[in-house]
Amino acid sequence: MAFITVDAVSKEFKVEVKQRGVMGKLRSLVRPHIVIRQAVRNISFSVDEGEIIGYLGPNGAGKSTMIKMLCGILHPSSGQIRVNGCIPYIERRKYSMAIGVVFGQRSQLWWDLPAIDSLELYKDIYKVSAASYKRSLDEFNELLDLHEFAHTPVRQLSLGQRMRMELAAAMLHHPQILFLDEPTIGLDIMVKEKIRDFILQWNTQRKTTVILTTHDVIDIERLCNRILIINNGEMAFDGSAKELEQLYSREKQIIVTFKDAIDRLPPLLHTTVQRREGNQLCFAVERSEDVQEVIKRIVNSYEVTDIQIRAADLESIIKQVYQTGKRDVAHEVVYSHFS
Amino acid sequence: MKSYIRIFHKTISTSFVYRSNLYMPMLAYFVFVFLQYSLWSAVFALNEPKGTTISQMMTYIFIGMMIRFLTTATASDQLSQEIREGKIELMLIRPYNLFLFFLAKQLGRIVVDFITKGLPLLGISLLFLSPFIQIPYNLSNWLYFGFCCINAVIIAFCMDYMIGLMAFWIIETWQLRFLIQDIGNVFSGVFIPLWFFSEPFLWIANLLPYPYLYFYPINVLLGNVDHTSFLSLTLVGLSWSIGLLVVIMLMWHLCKSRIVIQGG
Repeated sequence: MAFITVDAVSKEFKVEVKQRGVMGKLRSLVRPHIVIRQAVRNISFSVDEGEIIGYLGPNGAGKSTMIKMLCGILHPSSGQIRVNGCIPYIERRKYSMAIGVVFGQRSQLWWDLPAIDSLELYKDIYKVSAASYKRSLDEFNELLDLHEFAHTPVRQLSLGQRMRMELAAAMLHHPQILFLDEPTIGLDIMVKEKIRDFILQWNTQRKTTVILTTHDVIDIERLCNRILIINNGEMAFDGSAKELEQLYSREKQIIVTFKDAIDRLPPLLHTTVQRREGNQLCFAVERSEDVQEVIKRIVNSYEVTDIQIRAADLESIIKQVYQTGKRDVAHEVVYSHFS
Repeated sequence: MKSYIRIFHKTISTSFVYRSNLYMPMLAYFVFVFLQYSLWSAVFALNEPKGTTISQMMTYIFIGMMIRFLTTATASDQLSQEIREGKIELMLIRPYNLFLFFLAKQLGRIVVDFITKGLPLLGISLLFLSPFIQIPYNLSNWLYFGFCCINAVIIAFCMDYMIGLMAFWIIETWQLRFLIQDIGNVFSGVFIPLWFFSEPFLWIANLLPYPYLYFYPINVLLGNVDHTSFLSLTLVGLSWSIGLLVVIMLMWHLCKSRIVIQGG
């Protein structure tokens, strides 16, 4: 059986829509206008132990809601989640020993105290033995250079320093699953690399399962062996980065620099001109089988100084998935509510 | 258990991080005590109320000030803020009990308040007011006073925690907190001892938990409470704290399924 199974999970929220203007505000005091918003619609997937999953989707697609259900914070409206035989939102306290969480936008460190004090607190909360605590700390130091700022109050840490500390705080009790909600947001390249190396190392050495949401394509390329894309609360893609490329990126780009200015092109199969900058033209070829034919025709008719062929990168592929997955929000149920 | 002790500990050390955090409340506390003393001295100078002597009144104020911080619960402030800003999610993924977490913080605060407010006040009062202060010594009264104080801490904390949890429903709780606090200031006897209350007001006060926070503990120490009424007082006081605990458990049960995390 899979380590994590998510079975037909949906989550809806009641949202109060505020009316505009003073009269509207007064009216909604008496009779609030409630709208049901479907954040997650009927999502199913399963994860094996030791996988690193990239959980992607545009802002507001329902990523965080799913992560929060997986963490046991939110109850799904319907469907069921099982992690290692345990239902997260029911056995919350038992389950919390098995997970580590980093929410990039929120800090789990005590703001006024030196960072190391928070680690000590978590050591007691998670009942980590002194020996194991010391060993973990040494390891964090080696990978994340924590000793440089361990005794600085959290409020004086830079974002990069704080994120490294957050990661240490989340991993102190050696959780089986690590949830990372945008862990590299706003960080510089050096810190990003450090954090990625750290995640990879824990994953390979301890078989820690990682579920990661991010908007950083390099995070995905470096870390994830599987990608789940959701859009509008629905699953839009589930598979490896390779499969995603094969599925969506049959398109190739050919960038040709001509020797002279050209005004007319020969007819080309399934090809459109994407950009034109002086003598340089960028063609999009729909099917990679046609690339050879297109180049042959161009080279036969014109003098060319440079030709580059590019596959669409992961970023533009993901963008494509987001766009095709888009649909109108006709699912919203609207009703008024007397209170 | 160890983790709650650590939380208690960290709360104390956090309070000593900022010096202004210590001095400002201390100053505010002194101003309030000074006001109380001056006001009641003036009242007694004009016209001494029947049945109460100035020394009794001053002793009432003194004991009151020494135990006031036991029932000044502020932990819910943080709870509602965390709910409001969505940070509560980081507390919900921990293997601790949220109620005990905040109780540990509250106890930490009480210790801090005792050091920063109680002790200086004790010193000053003994210097300037010792002729007025008369606490009759009676061991059983002192023991019962101790029990009343512990019960008062629990009642005050529970009421505060309930307000904090209300943030799940109403999001903004400070209005509610002010309302509850103001009612409490009237009916607990912080400003005016309940023995000056008229019958209908006294009747209302006795329907509320507030007198158990402040008025009854002081009266026990003053020797104004008969040993025979200890039992009934204990029963009502305990039912308040147990009742509030049950309400909190019910509220928490309701919250769990309807939690909405603010800010995605």
